[in-house]
Amino acid sequence: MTDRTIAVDYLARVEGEGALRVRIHDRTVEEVELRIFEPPRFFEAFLRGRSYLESPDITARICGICPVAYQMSACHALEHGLGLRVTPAVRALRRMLYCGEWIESHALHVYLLHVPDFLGYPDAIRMAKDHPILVQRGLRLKKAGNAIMTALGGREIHPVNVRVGGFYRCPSREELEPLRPVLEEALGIAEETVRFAAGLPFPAVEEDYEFVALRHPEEYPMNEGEVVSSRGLRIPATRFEEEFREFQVPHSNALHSMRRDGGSYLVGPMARYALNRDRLLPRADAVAREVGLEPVVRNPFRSVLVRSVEIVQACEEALRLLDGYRPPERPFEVAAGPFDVPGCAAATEAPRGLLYHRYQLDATGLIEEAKIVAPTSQNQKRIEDDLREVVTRSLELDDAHLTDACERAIRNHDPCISCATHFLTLDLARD
Amino acid sequence: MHEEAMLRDLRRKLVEVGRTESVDRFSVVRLWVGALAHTSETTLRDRWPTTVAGTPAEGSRLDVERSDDVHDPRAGGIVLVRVEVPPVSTTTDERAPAALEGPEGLRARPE
Amino acid sequence: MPEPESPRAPPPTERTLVVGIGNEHRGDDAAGLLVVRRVRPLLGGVGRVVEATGAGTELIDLWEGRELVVAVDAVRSGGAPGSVVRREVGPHPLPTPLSATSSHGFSLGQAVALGQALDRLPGTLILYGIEAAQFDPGSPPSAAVAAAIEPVAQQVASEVRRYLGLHGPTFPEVLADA
Repeated sequence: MTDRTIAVDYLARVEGEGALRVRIHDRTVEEVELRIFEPPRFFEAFLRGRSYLESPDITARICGICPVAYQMSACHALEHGLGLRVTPAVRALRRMLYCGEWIESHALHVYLLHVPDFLGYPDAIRMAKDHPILVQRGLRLKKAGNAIMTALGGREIHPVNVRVGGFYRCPSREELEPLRPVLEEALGIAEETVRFAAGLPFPAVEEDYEFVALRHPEEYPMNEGEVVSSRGLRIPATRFEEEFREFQVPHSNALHSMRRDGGSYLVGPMARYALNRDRLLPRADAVAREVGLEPVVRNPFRSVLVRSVEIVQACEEALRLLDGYRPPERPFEVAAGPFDVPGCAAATEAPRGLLYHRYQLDATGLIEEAKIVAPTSQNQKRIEDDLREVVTRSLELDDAHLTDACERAIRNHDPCISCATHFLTLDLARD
Repeated sequence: MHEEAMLRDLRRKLVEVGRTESVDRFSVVRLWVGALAHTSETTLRDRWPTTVAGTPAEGSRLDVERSDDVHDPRAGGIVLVRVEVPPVSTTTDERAPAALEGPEGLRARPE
Repeated sequence: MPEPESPRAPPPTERTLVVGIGNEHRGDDAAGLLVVRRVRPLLGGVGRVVEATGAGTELIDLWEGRELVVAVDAVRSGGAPGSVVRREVGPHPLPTPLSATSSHGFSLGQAVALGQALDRLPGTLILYGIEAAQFDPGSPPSAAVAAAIEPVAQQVASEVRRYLGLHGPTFPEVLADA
């Protein structure tokens, strides 16, 4: 008796990049599974065998929205292990570049993705017809962020000027001066954005998040700091993988980033703000007070306010850095080796949250292993937790309205853009 | 994640094949991997046990055929070519352990 | 560096823009970038040629105030891989195949729709969509898409040349190139 053969001939398909599976049984939510595209894993493999100097350029391509974040985490991780110290001017330029990305990314999220939800529009395009001013404001802010990226990053939209040890070329003071009026205008628009956002209708929801973010002795975090959590964790970023693990999730083979004990946590603006409220610059602090923003925001819908405050912070910080900028004598430092050292690890604050990189190099500086933990994969479990509560609260809604409610819950956290927009496919089963 | 998404889709397909064919265990699963598919046989094998856990393919042998034809219209993809079913097979509705031992459990499935 | 906004007509080099959209590490998503990299030498410095990898809303800033914009992107509309769709954008919404574009968050189609809603479109906007087979990270473009790059680049370049030749001052270098 031989085996029977069943011919299948089926080509594996990849559906939309964002998909949500919800299983409801007997008015109980049994399963919530959010599927998000996670490109970093491919890049980890892609980096193997390449020179460490290529990492900032290659990882910058992981995300079209936050290329600078990937460059920054790559540079800091490698510099940390290789013992490279950048000059204060380079540090300031990097921070300014990062401000540009924060402004762009947050402005996109606030005005083009999040605000339409509050005003009852299916998307920014429909909103633009009734409220062109709002969308124009968002685009204006984005343009200011883009101006920084162009001036420092070296090319519009995709920055190519960043390298391990510094910049390929540092701009002169004169070259940066035209940014000043642009940023001053943006700062004003950003403050208006906070006041506007404070008037949006917020559902009364509170979640019990464990917030995780960087914290720096003096600054609102961006490029460096310790990894801290609202439940008392405080570690150097090099110990990240001891406290945060990737777990196999039941019923799927996706990896979710969780605390060592398996709990979910949240990175991003709400976490940064909750853990660094005391580090805001004066105008960001003042406008947050003016609108009565609570020191710890636990309502995910109110993340739109926190994001707006962070735009103010980024504009203000960029202006401050511009004031103090003196071009460095050398644009970059060069690593002499040895390269096969431990400790090539660092985290920085991407607009969407903590972004961790670790590298192991061989003796000649080629990458043997790369590990990248992106904000989206860290928040995925927590977003699923939020979704479970949304679905539980909204069981009486029909499928279309339930999908809307789920999409809104996801947009609160601004996960990787490809699913933060309106592409979610909801696979809803009620039985 | 693309590869992940393809593996999940294969998992769904394997479950579906098991259901439509009323088979709860495959002995062999054969995949064809296109020349431009961004995966390696090693990766597939590494991930296979978790991909198929809880499906009829759990514990099955994985055969992988790697194509090197970049012009194949399916070059970017992974194809589930076929599955093989062991001669002793129980259907999902004959799950009682006793059926495995008795003559009914040995009944060959029709081709 | 931001340029001061001039109320005057843009200089000749700024009248036209060719923009390729995509991600070079995502399989066929690279199509738009590969086309403009080929268009650049074909145009020999005439007009602006830009690679865009960002969120899509940048497109509105890039194309505003220009006379002619040609945007090239990968699309997934169910057609044969490598097939090419050319569409001139008017005030009406795009047909779905071109509005549901590649893997970018704020897609070309959405940028066009937003430009329409805000009345911020260039004089003429032409879209080229190259039908993609796969967006696999790290993989090269499919053979069918790779084969479409050169003909699309030729067509885009001649489109720009024809426009400038018909409607603007003569560019000897363009004519020589043609």
